[in-house]
Amino acid sequence: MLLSRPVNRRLSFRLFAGLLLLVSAALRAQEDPTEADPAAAVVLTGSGTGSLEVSGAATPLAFGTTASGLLVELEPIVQRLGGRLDVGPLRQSYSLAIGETQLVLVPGSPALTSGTEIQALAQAPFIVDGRLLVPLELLERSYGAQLGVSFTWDDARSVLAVVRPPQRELPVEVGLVHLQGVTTVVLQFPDAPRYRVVRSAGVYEVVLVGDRVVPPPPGPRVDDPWVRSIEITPERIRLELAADCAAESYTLKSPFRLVFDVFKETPATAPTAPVLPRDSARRTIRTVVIDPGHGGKETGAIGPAGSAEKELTLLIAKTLSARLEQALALRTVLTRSDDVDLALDDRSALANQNKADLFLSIHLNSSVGRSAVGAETYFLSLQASDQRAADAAAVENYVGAAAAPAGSDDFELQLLLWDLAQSQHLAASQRLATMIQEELNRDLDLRDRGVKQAPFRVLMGAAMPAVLVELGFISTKDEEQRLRSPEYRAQLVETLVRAIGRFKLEYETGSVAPAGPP
Amino acid sequence: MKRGWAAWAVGLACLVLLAAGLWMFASRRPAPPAASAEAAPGAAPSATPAPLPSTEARAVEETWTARLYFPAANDLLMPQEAAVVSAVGARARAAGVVAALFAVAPVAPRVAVFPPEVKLGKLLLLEDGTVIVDLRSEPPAEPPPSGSTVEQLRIYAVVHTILRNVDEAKRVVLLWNGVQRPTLAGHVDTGRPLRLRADLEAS
Repeated sequence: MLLSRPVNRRLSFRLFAGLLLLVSAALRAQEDPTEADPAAAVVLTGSGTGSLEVSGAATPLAFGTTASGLLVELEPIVQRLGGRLDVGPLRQSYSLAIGETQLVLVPGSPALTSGTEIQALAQAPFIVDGRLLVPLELLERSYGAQLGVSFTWDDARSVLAVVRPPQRELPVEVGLVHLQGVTTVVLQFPDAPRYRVVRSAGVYEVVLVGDRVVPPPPGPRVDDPWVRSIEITPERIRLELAADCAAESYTLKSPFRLVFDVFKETPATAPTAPVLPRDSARRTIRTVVIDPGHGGKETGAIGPAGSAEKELTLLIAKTLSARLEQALALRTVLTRSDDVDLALDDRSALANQNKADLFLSIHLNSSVGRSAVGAETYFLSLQASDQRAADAAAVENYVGAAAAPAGSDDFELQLLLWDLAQSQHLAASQRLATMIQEELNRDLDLRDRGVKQAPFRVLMGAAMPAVLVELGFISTKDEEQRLRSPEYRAQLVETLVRAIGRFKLEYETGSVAPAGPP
Repeated sequence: MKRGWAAWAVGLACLVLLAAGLWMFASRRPAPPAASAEAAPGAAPSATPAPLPSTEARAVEETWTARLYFPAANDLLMPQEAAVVSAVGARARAAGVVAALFAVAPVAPRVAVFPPEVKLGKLLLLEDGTVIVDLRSEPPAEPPPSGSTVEQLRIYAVVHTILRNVDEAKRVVLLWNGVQRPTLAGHVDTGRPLRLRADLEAS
């Protein structure tokens, strides 16, 4: 070695640094790229150690704040309130056992599972400095539901107080409807009760925790293929299901409703042609809400020439609005008249607020193939596992459940089921979709892609006949060119006007309107 | 003295390197799933093992034939068989088929489910048969925009691939970058568990 000492020293340093880099790279290569680091996904805007107060006694409690709200350490709460917190075998999840109930939570995920129920949290739990921090909402869903306690955070003192609120007596209204192969049971309360759902073979029990139920005076009538009985006592509401039936529950707000969707686990068959409800002659079509698909940062599909679905649907919707007012003297409301973001739930809510008689969502399609052409019209599928069964059940049950005069129990039930109201209009929606599809096929000689069902979010909240029409494939070069033409769009609009005119006539008079110009 | 320091440094670095090499050898991992995307078109594609956390990745493995459901040019889901290597167990099988769905090269007229930047993040199988699938885009981004047909095919390609291959799986909840969204592209409700849709499968 003939190198001078300084050169030799630099070489040694570089050799050492290079080896460290090599080792570091080797270690990084060992990391599983699919394993997200939960801690890395959270940005704390504040953190510290406060205290947990239970019955006047305080325990140190770590907390952190994010843009979404407060997170508190779970471990001390489990130690004080009872229960057991375990890390899952794959170290991806935590299970929190309180009594016989086990909840599973995943750091970084806003989904909380309780038995068979999946609940969405507004804020996800996170691991911070090796500690599991959870939102207060999770505590309410777990300890609140199980023990009847509530949690209040004193920001000035950084104190989480666990209190037991006074017992309330909450009246409950029970609604039950069987449509499209699904029985929906709605339990409506004036305020959110503290409860937990206990499930065993064929039985679902809503057990009140800290509150009591005031049963409805006559007791619920149950004449349903999937639900055998509903028993209500001050302490619990018990749903007994028919054999081979299962249920999923979820909640709705304003007013608070606990909803069970009960379904048979083996589907039925046999499609049946759609019909309109028997009381259709008493209805009128006055207001149509037109929903131009997408908007704002949600572009929808983009054509090969760069056309954005959101722009063309807005142009079509505006023209359709003017033509419906002119040709059929209908009042029309656009869910958006500019290029703005608008949540899907807000679109159907707008239709409900305007007491619309029809809801029409305008879309343009995209395909994975390069030559897809044609139009298709959708109405809602609530239980889309078997379309034939759904068709048959929808017709059978809609006809059976129609004719609900104001003041009757069924009318009250319809009000109760406002958020689920599209299920009340499936037959009419299917009929409207059929008419639109017929007119599009006949007038424009489009390839008939048919009337279809899908669980489209924008249709779910609409309390009136509602369809989503795909007027063509913007992803196909030739069809995109046609859709960019004002003349072709005007043709599409005239076709929709004719279809709505036919539907209006049939819906209001009960007579069958033939296809073609009115 | 300084020469002695340099010698110590080199010696220490060599030791660290040796230790790292031994550790890498001892915990040798399977190749990443992307490698199987290079399978020749038309040949029976082979999926690499599902990317699982370390404890499960070292568990006993099984090789089995799965039916992966890809979007096809006829706007339906079309199955394609693939050999999947996964750890034993329903969750590992579910993770294995989704990883394979994203890794295997689809044979025409089938096309890839998502753009390549979309990966399988975490996958959980709950006791009631609910599979929670967290799809991740790297770098994080909104779901790719599409019309309703493409959106349905993308979503139900994942749903059908899981439910048709894993008996224990009954329904699928989709998350996008760890969050359950109302929809991925403005149409299909992903706020609730998803089940099979026979109408989307090519007969």
